[in-house]
Amino acid sequence: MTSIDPRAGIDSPTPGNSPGNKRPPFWQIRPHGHHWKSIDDEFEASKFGMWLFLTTEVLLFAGLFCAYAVLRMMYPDAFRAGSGLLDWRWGLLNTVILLISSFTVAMSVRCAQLNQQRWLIYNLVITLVCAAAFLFIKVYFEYIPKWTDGKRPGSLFSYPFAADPHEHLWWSVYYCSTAVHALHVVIGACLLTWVLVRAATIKAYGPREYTMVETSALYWHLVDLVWIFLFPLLYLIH
Amino acid sequence: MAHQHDHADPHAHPGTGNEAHGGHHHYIIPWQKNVLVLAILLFFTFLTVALAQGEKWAQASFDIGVIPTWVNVTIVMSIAAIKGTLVAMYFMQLRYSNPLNTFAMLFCLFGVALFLGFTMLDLGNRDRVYSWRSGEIVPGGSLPTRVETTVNDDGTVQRNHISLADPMYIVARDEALNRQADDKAAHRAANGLYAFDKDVEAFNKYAEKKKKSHGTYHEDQTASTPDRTRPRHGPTPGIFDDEPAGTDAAKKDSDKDHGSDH
Repeated sequence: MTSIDPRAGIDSPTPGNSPGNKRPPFWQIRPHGHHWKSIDDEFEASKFGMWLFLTTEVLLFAGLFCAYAVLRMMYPDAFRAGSGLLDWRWGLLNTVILLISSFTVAMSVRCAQLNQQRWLIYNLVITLVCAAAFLFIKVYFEYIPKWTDGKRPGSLFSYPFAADPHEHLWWSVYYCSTAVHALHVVIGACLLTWVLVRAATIKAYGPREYTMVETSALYWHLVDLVWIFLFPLLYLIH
Repeated sequence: MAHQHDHADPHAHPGTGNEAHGGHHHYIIPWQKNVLVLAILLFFTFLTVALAQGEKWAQASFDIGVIPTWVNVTIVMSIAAIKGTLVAMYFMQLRYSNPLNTFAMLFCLFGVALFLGFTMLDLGNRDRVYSWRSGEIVPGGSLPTRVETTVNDDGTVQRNHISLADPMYIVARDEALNRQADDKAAHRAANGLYAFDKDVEAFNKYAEKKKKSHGTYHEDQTASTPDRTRPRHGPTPGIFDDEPAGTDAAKKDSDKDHGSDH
């Protein structure tokens, strides 16, 4: 009697150790923690946990938005002048890039749910390319020209043609909020790179097990959400 | 096939959910819906940029003056809120998952509303009661200032912050004097006496006339009567003078030799 390999998952059409069958992909056989009633419970709990973390991230950015609101109310002329020095076209391009990356990461979750491993990898790669493009535009076309011009935050400010004595406050708000956001883009990209590596090497994600894809995608969507609010506040309001 | 025991997941019940998707009943969003949401998001992005630029253009070409900032802010933030809601509901799948997730995020937004709302209520109304509170915050105290730029002979530029308001202790002293004047006026009105302000010009004219004609004006002036308190000179210059401190009349007042007190 052929013994059935206990590592065979419910999804595999044939037992794991039958001849001609490769070792099942990792997503099929990953055991869930036994303190959970079912793998579904584990997934829902992970998702809720990620949502709780996202609420803390929203509060972090709310602090930055509050600083923006307060300083804007106190020094409207400085903020008007400073906002005019930003190029809204780079902001628009960055917004479009992030929206597309949000779309592809949502599609990658869908691909994991449907066991479309190849498209899962493609979508993750496109998302990471978008992240890299966002960071490149931000640093090369926005930060570096401004820094060399002297438009720097706080006491580092040295722009000779400042229109308002409080313009360094505007630049502080600009650099702080976009830099903290860029840091979150980097963190999200690292998470998604980890997902990509695991998906590419051991097929870690599939219909039964895609928690990591889901939670990393949620983090990425939050990054996009924050930028959706940052872009009009910094670039469009005058 | 339907009751294969999943050793990796011994608690999974057979027959629940969609077997083809591994026993989970998670919503799988159709890709067309994702594309539609992306299209709507991109539309709103271009709309918001177009509105912002259009507003600038309308201000420049039509003669409608300055469009108030709150119009711009409201439109732009409303569109941003719509975009954010779409991302949260469809991309983050709040619509198709446990309502507890939605509740967590809504509660967080309530917290943000409290945070921002109270801060802006405070900041926005700082100048309602005390006008000197509405100025910039500098180390050592807040005073509204005007910036005066002077160019020195050697070409260096100097920016002087000239205070537009008195320091706090002078404001407080003036308010105390005003309260004192109000009390005096109320007392006089209650007792049917003349109002102090109406009297002072007439009295000063009379005093000048008397000064020219008699030498005893000082005595008259320094003695108080039940009717009115004569000006006294004490350690705080101007506190009991008729004229406000620092004016020429007050200087003349203090220069007079007032007999008995000094």
